[in-house]
Amino acid sequence: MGGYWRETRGADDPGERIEQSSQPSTDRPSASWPNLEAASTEKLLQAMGYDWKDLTSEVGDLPRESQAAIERFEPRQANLPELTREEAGAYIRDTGETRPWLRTAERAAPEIQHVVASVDQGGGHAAERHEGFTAGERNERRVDGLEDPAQLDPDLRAEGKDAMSPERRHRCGDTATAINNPEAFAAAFARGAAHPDIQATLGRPRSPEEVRTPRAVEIPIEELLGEDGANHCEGHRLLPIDGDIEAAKRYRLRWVNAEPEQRAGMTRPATEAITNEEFRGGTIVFAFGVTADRSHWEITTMYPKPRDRNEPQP
Amino acid sequence: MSYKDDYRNENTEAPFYWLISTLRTYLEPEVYDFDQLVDDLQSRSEWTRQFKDQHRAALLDPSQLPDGAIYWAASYDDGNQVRYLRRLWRDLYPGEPVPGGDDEFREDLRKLISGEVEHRPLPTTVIEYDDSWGKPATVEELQELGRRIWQRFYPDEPLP
Repeated sequence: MGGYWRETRGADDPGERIEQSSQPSTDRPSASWPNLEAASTEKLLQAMGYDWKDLTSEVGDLPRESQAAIERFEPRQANLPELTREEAGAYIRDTGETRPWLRTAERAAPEIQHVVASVDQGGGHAAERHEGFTAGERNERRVDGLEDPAQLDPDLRAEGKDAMSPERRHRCGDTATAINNPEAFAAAFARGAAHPDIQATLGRPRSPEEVRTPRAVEIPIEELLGEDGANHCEGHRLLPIDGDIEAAKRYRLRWVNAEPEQRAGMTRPATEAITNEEFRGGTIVFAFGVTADRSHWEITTMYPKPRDRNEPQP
Repeated sequence: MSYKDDYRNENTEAPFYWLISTLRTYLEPEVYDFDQLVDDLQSRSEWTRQFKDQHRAALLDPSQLPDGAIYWAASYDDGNQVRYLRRLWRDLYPGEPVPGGDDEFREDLRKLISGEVEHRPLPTTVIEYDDSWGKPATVEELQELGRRIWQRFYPDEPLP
C-alpha cells in the first residue's frame, strides 16, 4: 500500500500507531444491537418497545423556577423573531419533516414548544446540535466522525460537511454534548436568556462601533435546571491516544479525510460517554452572535459543559 | 492565576490574553465563525492590533505561550499549536509570510504536487484546504489540488 502518511509520519506520532493497526475498521460497536452496554439510550428504549418521544416529553422534575421561566418566555427577550404559542405549535407540526430536531417537541406542552420553535427561528444552531434529537448516537458520531447532526444529506453528513456551510468541514471539539429533552432544553434557554449576565448582552442594542463579538457566558447547570439538572445532560468525548488528546484529534481528522480503502485499514476514533455525574458542577455555555439585521446580539448556541476534570466533584 | 482565570476575569494585561480570548470567542468549534472574525479584524481597532501582535509573538517564540492555552481556546485538529497558529496566520493574512517560516506546509505541498501523495488522507497541513473529503482520487487529481493550493498562497512563486 505505501502512501505518504505511512511513510513520513514517524513513530513519534501516537495517531500513526493506530493507523498502522492490523485491526479491521471498527464500525461503531455502540450502534450494533445487541451491544447493550454501549447502545444509545434511544435505541435501547426503542428495542424495549417504548416511544422515545413520549418519554422525553414527560420529564417533569425541573424546579418550579425553571418551569416558570418557560411560561414567562418572550422571544424578544432573546432578540428572536416574534412568535406566539399557537404559531410555535404549528411551526413544529409543519416543519418537523424538514427540521427533524423539532420532532422531540412535537408532543411537548405549548409553552415548551414556544421556546424550542423560537430558538429554531433564530440565527443560532442550539436546537439542531444540542437538544434531544442530537443526544445519544448522533452525539457520538459527531465526536468520532465529525458528522454534523444538523446536516440532513446523509452523504454530506458522512463526508463531514457542515450543515450551515456545506463547503466546509464540520467542526467539533473533543466533546459533544446535549440537553436530552425539550423541557430541560427550553428551561435552560428561557432561564439563561433572562439571566442578568446574559441580559447584559442581549438587553441592549448593538453599537455600530462594537466590532468584537462578546465572550461566551457560562452559568452553572444547577442554577438553570436545579440540583439534579445534570441528569438532563449527556454527551460523548474523544479518547486521547496514549494520553495525548491533540494526537487523537489529528487522527480523527485524518480518519475522516481518508478514502474508503484506506479507512478500512484504520481504527475508528475511540470515544466514551460522558456520565451524568460529570455534569454535576458543570455549566451551560451561551455564545453570542449578531442578529440578522445587525442591530442586537442573539444566542448562537447553548450547550452543557461537564465539570473540568481537574476540579473536585461538588 | 491561570490563563482560564485571566479569560474569565477579562484580565487584558495577561500574557497573550487577546490571542487566547479571540480564539475562544470566534474559533472554538462550538462557536466557530471564521468569517465573522475576518470581518471584525477589518475594523483595525486596538484589539485587532494586539491580537495580531500576540499571534506573531506566539509564532516567533511558542515557548512563551501558557501550556495548553491555545488548545483550550481553539480545540484545533492540527496536532500541535504551532501548526495551528501557522495555518491561522496563513488564512487570516494571505500574502503576509508566516512569522518564523512555514516550511512544513511548503514541503507537504511540494510532495502533493510532485505526486508523492498517492491517496487521502492528505498530510495534515493540507487537509484543511481539501475540497473533496474522503473521496477516491487519482494521483493526478491530488497533484492538481496541490497546485491550486500553492497558487492560492504563493501566487508570485513558481510551482515547486
